[in-house]
Amino acid sequence: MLINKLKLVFISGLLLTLVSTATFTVDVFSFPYGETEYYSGVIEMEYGKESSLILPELKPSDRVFISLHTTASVDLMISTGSNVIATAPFEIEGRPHVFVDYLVVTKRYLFIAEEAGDYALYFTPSTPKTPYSLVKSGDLNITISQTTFNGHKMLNVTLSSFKNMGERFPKIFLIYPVSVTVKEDFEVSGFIGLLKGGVGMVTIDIVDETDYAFYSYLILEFFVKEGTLRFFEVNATSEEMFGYGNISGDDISFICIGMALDKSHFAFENENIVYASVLLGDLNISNGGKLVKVDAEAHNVFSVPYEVYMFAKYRPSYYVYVLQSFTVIGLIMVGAVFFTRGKRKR
Amino acid sequence: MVLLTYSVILTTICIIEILKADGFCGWSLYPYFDYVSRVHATPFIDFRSGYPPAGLIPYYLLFQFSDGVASFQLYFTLVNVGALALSMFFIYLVLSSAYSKANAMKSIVIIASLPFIAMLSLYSHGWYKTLYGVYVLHSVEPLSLLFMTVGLYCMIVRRSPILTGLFIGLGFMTKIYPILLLIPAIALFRSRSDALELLYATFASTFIISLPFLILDPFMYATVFLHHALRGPSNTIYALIEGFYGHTGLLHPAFDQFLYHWQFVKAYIPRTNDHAFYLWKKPSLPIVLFIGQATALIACYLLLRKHSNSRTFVKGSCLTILSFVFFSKLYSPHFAAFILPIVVISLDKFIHKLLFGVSLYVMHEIQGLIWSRNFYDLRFPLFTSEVIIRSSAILIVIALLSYELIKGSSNAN
Repeated sequence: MLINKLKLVFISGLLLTLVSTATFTVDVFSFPYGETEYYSGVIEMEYGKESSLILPELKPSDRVFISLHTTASVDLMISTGSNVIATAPFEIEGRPHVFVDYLVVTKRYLFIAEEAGDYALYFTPSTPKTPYSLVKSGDLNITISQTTFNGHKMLNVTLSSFKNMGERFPKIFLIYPVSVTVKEDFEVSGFIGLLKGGVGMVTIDIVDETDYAFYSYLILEFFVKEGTLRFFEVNATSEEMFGYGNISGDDISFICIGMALDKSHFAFENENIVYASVLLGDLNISNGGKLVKVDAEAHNVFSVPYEVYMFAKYRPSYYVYVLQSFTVIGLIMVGAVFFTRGKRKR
Repeated sequence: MVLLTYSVILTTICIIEILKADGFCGWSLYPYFDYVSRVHATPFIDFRSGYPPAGLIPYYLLFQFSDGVASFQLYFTLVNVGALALSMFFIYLVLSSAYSKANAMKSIVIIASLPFIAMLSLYSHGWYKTLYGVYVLHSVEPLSLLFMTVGLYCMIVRRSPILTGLFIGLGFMTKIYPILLLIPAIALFRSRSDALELLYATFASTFIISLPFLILDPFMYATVFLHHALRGPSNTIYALIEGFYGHTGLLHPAFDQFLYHWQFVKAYIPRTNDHAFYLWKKPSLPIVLFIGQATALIACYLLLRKHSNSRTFVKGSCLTILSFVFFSKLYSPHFAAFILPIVVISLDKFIHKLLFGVSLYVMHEIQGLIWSRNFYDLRFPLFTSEVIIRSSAILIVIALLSYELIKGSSNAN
């Protein structure tokens, strides 16, 4: 008799679990999880000025993912009515930046629409467009412009920071993505100089995918004087700052120009602000008989291709809670049978 | 008493390390938790996390309870040292039952001494002290090791399908790999009712832990597992074949984790240098590896299904896990936390146990050198050597255990 009752409870529990799980699965997959609203186009931007983009009406919890295909740094503000919405902080699992191309070549932003409504995006470029993407580390103000020095067309990159704030060596990297295997004739060359102020150091940095390493070659040092202009070249067997750097045969993904301030620089003993105006000429990258010239140009007005993805976020109905409760009850019934049977066995 | 003394000594050393480090002790979950806390995001519902719920939430609660890096590291260490000590206790019970108390003690000595030996590493800071860090300072492995060893104890000593299933489910929800114990467990609990109880307990414990997330966002929950299943190769011979020489770090903006996997696929193009969202140069390789893993698991089941001897199931559990790891596209130094105990308990001779422990330590020292700036130019040959030596060591253990199990089967026949 008891065995029959146990069988009945077992079968009922199993059926309840299976039916509620199946219904739950059908309910969940009725959500349009694969649908995406997608918009793309080109937006005109001007350095220091605001451009806007109006989004179609969003539903609550929608995720909006924006990609801007530009090397310029662009600040984004989002508003709905009179409210300003925060974008997700630009971090990689807690770290401020890592050299991976999608982070620097494409500017990406994400925000979550807490409420339904119309949203507007306001873009303000904080740098002109140059061939380089910029990554900043530390508390720094940066301005970039195009200039001519001793007959050379050059980029004037000015870094400034308050002396008594933040880390001692705030720095930036101007990043140029490449995808090459280094041949014997590999060479990066150009002109570098210091127009004004005092620099901590300027380096050519190469991201090596084979060695999984970041090689730094010093091209302008701490004690260099204002008005200095010099030619530099780095090749496949150049020795980098730490004594390493034979990169022949390696795959490399980025060539960067690193610029750092030193807040204890002797040039600013009695000043509150430390700064350096660094001059960077055309960069010549030759490899395997091919030459790529990276022009020292800065454009204040530029067009930016953009993509906007609007992704729906699942939100459970009360129905789902009921279904899952049935699943739990079913599981408890099956478990009770196992437990009772186990006790009888003992 | 011995384990308590061990825990106290290890904890004291860890506290000294944490205070000396004055900040992060190498890689840590702290900055990650800090990020999601700042953006008010709930794990598994607003974003996909790096671990299943039982591996993340206990540590996330520790983060919420702590008031800075040092206190978080301290709580973290206390939990991990406790889990490690309890794991040893259950390993002792398993080996005392399957072998002898002397065998159990010798195995425990090797496993327990490794965090201390690892502290004598050539490098004094960062995650170079790989094994020490893995065991104590910055990984969730000790907790999953605990559930795995309790599962093993329930399977081999208690012979309880319900309890075995319960702890396999808990382990699965901590760091996935303890689910592999289900293969030897199904082979051991052969009767229909025992197998049903085992599967029920595994499913029920997994389901109950998953329930809140299944209700609130099953798609985000699925993304946690899908994302990990689709990561690139790293630190294995298959990574060498692919030409990917980086590590398993998830180099992705944390905000990418707020999207479902299939949404992210639409917005982002995979790259051959991005481990988190990898473009395979040889697209058939992950399929071949998956088939290899599935075949290895079936083979392990077939090898074990006619046995009932405790020793055979200790060895069989190790063989199952190692076979899966051998065909895995990625290896992380964290895996040592479960590979070392499971191999040490499965080998009969003390010298073999010791040799494996020493070789694992040496391989992790090489890992330390690889990621150190001082060895940039030697990195590639070191990396290649370490991968080949480690894979060979694992293959030798697999061959040895397979031979012993096949020999055992033919003797039984």
